[in-house]
Amino acid sequence: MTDPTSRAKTWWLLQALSGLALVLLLGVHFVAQHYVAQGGLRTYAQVVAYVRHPAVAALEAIFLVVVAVHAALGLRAVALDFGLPAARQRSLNAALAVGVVLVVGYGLWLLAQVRGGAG
Amino acid sequence: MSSPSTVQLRVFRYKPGDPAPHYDTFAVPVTPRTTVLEALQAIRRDQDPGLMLRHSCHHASCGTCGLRVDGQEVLACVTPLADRGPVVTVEPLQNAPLLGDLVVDMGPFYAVFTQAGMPLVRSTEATAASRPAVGIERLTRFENCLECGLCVSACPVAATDPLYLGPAALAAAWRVVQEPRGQNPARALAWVDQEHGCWRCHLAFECSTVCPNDVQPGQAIAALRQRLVLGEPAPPGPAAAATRPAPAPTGPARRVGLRAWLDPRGRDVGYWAFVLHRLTGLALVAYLLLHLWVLRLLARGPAAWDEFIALARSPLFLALDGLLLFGVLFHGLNGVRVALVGLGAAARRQRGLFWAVLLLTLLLLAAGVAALVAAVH
Repeated sequence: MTDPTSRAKTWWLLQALSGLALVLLLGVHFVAQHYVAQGGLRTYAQVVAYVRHPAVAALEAIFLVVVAVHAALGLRAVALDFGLPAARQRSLNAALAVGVVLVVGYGLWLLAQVRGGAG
Repeated sequence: MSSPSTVQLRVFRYKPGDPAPHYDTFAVPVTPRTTVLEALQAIRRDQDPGLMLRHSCHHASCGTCGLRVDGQEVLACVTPLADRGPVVTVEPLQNAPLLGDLVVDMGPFYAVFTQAGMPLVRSTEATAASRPAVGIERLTRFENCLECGLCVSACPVAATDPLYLGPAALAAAWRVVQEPRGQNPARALAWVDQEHGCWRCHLAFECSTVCPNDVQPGQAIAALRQRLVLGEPAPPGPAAAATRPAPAPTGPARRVGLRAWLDPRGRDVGYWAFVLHRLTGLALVAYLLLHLWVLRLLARGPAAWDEFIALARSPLFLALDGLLLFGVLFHGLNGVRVALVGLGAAARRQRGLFWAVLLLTLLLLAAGVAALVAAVH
């Protein structure tokens, strides 16, 4: 039985839009790390100095959130491709939401640690 | 008239009660004009009367003789057997319950058409004075559907998702939306606007490739999405709760599952774009987790990080970096293609866009690898 209150369109659009955002964010991520930062980020000190810039930290945080959401929606699509019934979709959504929170939480914690010059 | 040569026809066999399907090989004489259906009929007449196959009109009009020949879905009655090599494999359609040998149960396939709003019924009879409606040409494409089931057999999503409505039914729904003839198009839109409806399609376009009548179901699905996103919203309601009927418990379901994603026989570029997008997507999810795990070294201080950087300069690591870059580039660029095509913006150019994506991926990959090598040395 399919779900008459399905948000299938919303999920598909969110995946498409997050994907398009990732193309831009990933481009900036690559270019900033390998070209704008002189000689690329090689040493520990260079990495710490780089992420201490507020704009860079904000960019990396946004990138992390978008990539985590996009990946979760991708995994959800694969699960549904294998005929996941509507009754289990709620559990899958919850599990993926927890995964996104964990990944984003860990990533932000790591960012804060590095910005603080941990180690 | 040329003299016949001989072809070995490797035919899929299964009868209810058999422990497993197998293949029988028959030598059949063929002329340049012999069709697969004629060869199969000759086998049944001269060699094995027990061979089960379906056919009717012999001129690609009824859609009854759909089969897979060397892995590709075709109508057997109009598919020449010559020039296919000395051994030709013939199998039944996939993603439908198998009744026996080359015959599948089309009942579930036909039933889902009814839910789409087919058949369309005229509200009035045509008269000698009546004229075709203006713009009727754009509608006839979807009216041409033979209901042969080739598209469902070729669809990689139908191979894994038994709840998927399928390309034929979705094309039929689009036909209803285009010219409802008294039906409520919102009902058809609500029916396709579900997880296992038009949003489950991944735009491999194998349905359009194998369609013998140029119905182009893939483009119809993209058009449905475009209407759902940009057009009037489809109201939720009972019509959206339609289900695909469960297959009759006759024999193996012939739903080939994941193997269908990796079967290269007879497939077109849209299919490969789908498979590559899936594989790179799954690989990138794994990489995301690995990337975060490696970055934990930054929290441990300079010594741990420098140790990792030394490892990152090894040839093996650099090779993996190149592979990663390919995955990122292809997935990103093909993602843009999927978004454009999926919203109907470039559905008819999906093949050309695939080649553009691949070319751009390889060009950027070459530039990226060159930069990577230069940075290390």
